[in-house]
Amino acid sequence: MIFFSEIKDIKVYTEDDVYVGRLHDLVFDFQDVPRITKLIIKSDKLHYPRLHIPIKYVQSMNHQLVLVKNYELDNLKVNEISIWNNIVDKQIIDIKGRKVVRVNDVVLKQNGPNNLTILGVDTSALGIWRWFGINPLLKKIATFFGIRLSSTTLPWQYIQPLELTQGRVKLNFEQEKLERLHPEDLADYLEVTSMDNIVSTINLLDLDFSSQVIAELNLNYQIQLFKRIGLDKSVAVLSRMDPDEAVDVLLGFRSKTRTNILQKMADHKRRELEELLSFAGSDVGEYINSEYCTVDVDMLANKVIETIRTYPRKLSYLDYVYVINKQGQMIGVFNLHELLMQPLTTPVRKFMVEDPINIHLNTPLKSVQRKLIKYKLSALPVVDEYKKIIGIVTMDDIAPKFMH
Amino acid sequence: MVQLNNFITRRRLMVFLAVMGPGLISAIADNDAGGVATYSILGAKYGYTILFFLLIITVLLAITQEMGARLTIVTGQGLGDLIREEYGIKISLLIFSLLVITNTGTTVANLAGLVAGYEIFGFPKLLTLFVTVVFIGLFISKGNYKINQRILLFAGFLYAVYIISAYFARVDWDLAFASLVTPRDVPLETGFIFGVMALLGTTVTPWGQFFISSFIRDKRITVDRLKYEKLEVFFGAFVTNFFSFFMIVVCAATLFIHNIEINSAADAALAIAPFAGAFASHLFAIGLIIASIMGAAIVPLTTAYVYAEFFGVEGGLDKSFTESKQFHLVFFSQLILASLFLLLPNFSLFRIVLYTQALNGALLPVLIYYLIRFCNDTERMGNHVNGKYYNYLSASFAVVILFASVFVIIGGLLGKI
Repeated sequence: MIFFSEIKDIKVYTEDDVYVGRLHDLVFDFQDVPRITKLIIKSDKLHYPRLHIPIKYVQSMNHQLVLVKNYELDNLKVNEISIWNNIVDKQIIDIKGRKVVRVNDVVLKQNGPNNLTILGVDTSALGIWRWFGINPLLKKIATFFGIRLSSTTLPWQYIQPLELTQGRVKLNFEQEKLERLHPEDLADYLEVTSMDNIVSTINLLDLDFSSQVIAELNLNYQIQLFKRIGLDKSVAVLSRMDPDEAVDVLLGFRSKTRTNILQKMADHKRRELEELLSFAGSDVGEYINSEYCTVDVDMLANKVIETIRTYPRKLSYLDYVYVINKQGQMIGVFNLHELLMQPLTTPVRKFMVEDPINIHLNTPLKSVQRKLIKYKLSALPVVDEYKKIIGIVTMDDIAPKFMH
Repeated sequence: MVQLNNFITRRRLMVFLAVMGPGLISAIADNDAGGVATYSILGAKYGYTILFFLLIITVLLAITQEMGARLTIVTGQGLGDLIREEYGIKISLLIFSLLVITNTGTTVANLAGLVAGYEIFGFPKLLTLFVTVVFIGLFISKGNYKINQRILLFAGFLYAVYIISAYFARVDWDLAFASLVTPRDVPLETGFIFGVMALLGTTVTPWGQFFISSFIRDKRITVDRLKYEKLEVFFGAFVTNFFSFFMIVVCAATLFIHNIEINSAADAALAIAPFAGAFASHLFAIGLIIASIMGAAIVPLTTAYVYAEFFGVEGGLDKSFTESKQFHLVFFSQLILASLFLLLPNFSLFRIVLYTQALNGALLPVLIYYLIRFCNDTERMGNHVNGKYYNYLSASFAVVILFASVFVIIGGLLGKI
């Protein structure tokens, strides 16, 4: 990842060390993947102030840019747009025409010596200070005070390319969404673009947010994506995903890859996923979820609330609390509403519903669906032959199966 | 036929009234506390002679404001927007930092004028400062464009107190009008030249250039109303100096005749009492308070506008606090910062005003240069570019302003003003 401000005005030489000028601007193709096509070089020779050179003549790009010896010049076409002219310093507006911020810098990705693509635009204050070259200093100072500075980047996918030709940098959604962009929306959007786009966008986002976005993508994309983002990142993302969704992804991998990934995970996470994977052959197993909460039958209502509040794991779903006896068998259930209506000193056995509806691993999916609908439940506990609870199946997880 | 003509004239008048606001307000606001002080001091020191220069200043003010107004109406962008897009972040940040400093200084000067004005009526310093700042904060953040514009216009016409004040001051009207159109007894001394330059410096200001542009952008006046807005800008420049005329004659007819030297606008208000009566003196003080409130509201507003333009965030009087947080935060922090400066124990108003003027002087020619450049850009302005003679005129005025700025800086350093 490089920033436009870092390469603007670097010196340009040919491979045999002839000075050409300084890099002034980059011309790009604004279609699907915004790929840089030409460089604009500011030459010292007054009668030829701007040289337009196709990017294929670039040999290397580091602190200076090196062109092959026999490069040729090209002309700009009428509608070609460039980073310095059309993007940097321009106003970004949202879909309703409200001003969001100005473009402070442009983020590029170098895929090879002469393959540069635009990842997004930097809108943060760091994008301003980078032009002054004081970012390292600022970051050092911030670290001293224990603050981590990072720039915020708008992925290129948010920008409407057609508007660029009319001199506007316009987003394809509203400003509020930018502030709390929903992973679902982004995932929906990404699914209609190319895999390249998905990978570059995911790389821009922080880990927690990108895990949420990946979780919302459809399974085919997820599996392709994990193959491209590398093992370490896959492990990190999968550990953050819902266990049953992570299992779905893992099932899409070859068994060798699966073992590799599992081995790199933290112990408790690995055991949880391995257990869920072992159910995968059965009907219900594919949808089973280990995120449920159980309490002892003799607990008082206030203690139950306390337990839920201090539950060590983050539960993505919690409607019912299951009640177990001394032998670990499930003997009752109550929902959160019932719990809240109780006097605080009532023991659980007084208000729980006995003999809850349950299913087994080999229950056919059709009957799981019927039970959920008939009893108006949002989740069913899955029990083994000793009536011990081994997981739950939620309406959310199973609904898509019946919609198709 | 007569009816139709009447109808057309009436319609035109309605359009004019609809457009009216930015030109008048920004011109009148140029006579803030600093302006009132300069006019009073010069009126007391040099008498009617200074009136002749009012005409020149009116034309200067009109021309610079007209360019800013036209630029914004045609391009739909404020001066800040254009500078950022044309000259990039480095220049923008530099100009913005300078503007923050000078505007803070100007706001301090206005709040100081306000406190001094209220002290004439015996109000305590802290309380008046607090109440005014809260009032300004409320009316900018709670009101919408239309309401704020009305309040500011109303405040602008309250400058008429100077006319009443002049009525009591037994002005030599024949001499006053004669001095207005012909230069009479111009004392060829450095102090006088510095004085005239200071007059220019307080009337044509960097924040004034930004304010008219942003305030028009905020009003979203369209190109088909350009001619009315031009008219309003010229009218505004005229009205402003019409009021200035009375400020000067009041001081000329009382203080100059009796050879009384003053150092501030509040001094002037107190000093004219023996000659023009307590009522005139009080009106003069009220004028100072109004000028200060207008300045203290508009200058931080300008900073907020320019911030929004340079950094591309939403900012305008019609936007609520949540819609344009940064805009409002910049506004409030400047107002509060200026109040705190004023309350500093070893606060020297003189120093702050001096440094502010020096910085303003350095910034203004640059802005006028940008204005002229943008106004000659056919790509942006189409057929609304400056005409040839207009360019000559504005360019030569830019040179005058450049000289004025240098004079003000040197004069300030030598302590001649």
